[in-house]
Amino acid sequence: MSQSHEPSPISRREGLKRAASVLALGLGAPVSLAATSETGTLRLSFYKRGEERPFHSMRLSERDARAINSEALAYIKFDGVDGELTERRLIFNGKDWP
Amino acid sequence: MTEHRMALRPEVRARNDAYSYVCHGCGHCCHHKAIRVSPYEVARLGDVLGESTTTVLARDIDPEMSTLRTTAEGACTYLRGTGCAVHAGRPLACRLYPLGWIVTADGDEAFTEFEGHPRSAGLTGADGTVADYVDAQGTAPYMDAARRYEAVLHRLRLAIEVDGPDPGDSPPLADVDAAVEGDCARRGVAVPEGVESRVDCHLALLHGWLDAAGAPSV
Repeated sequence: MSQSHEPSPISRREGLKRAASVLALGLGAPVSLAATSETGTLRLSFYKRGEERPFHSMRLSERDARAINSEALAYIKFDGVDGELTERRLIFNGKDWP
Repeated sequence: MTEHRMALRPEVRARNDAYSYVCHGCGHCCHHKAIRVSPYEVARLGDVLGESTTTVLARDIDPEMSTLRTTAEGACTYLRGTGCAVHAGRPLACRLYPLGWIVTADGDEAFTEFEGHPRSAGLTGADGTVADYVDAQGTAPYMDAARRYEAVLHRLRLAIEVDGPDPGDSPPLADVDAAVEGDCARRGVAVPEGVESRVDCHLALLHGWLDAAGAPSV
């Protein structure tokens, strides 16, 4: 019996998630910013089209994540998008930002 | 050219803060960088190259990361000597460098700043303001487009969280020309001239698809 190699239809929700992932990549707005079990650590995740599991991610401190959060735009010359961002503090008008 | 990982200064700046930067074209900042490009930026690259966004995406953009391709030595694919082959259509991150632009979900913006490459010929000063610098780099249409595409992304996120009809496949998300030319062919109308008009059409197509998905309006 031959097996079909046609891709399985995806759900509406999965289709929307994948579209959001593709668009978010180019906008510097990673679609997934999910708290992990690591205390105080958040993870920005990047997805390949059509795949559910992220293939690159960055660990962020909570302070960083507040600056580059899931709804933020970030236009920066990144050194890279894998690996771990170093702890840093953003100060604006003498106060933590945002 | 060896890789140097830049450090982000801890301060962020506002538009009216004193700032100036003079690039002397050393090209250090055009190596070992991940330059993400939005649909609008790909369209601007295509415009300056005289090519379709389909061609630019296939040849010059890493589809997995939506970043400009680099050579084996880490140079940007558009670097020619120490000059940029697409300078008039260069991406926003390149226009802003050594600043970066961050916009929060609330719409607040701030400008980060990298410490330069140790051998950079660029000169940072306080002869103007951040606004003077970013305006002189022609960033306004890029920032406007970024916010408009972010509005699409925001609706997408909202649509994920609510039930609604299945809208079918999305229009091409990154390929402005493919999306607009396909739509114009279906409707039997002429493809609009100019990047801004085609991007307007692309955004309208994406919003139309989101309407079909029952995405809440924002």
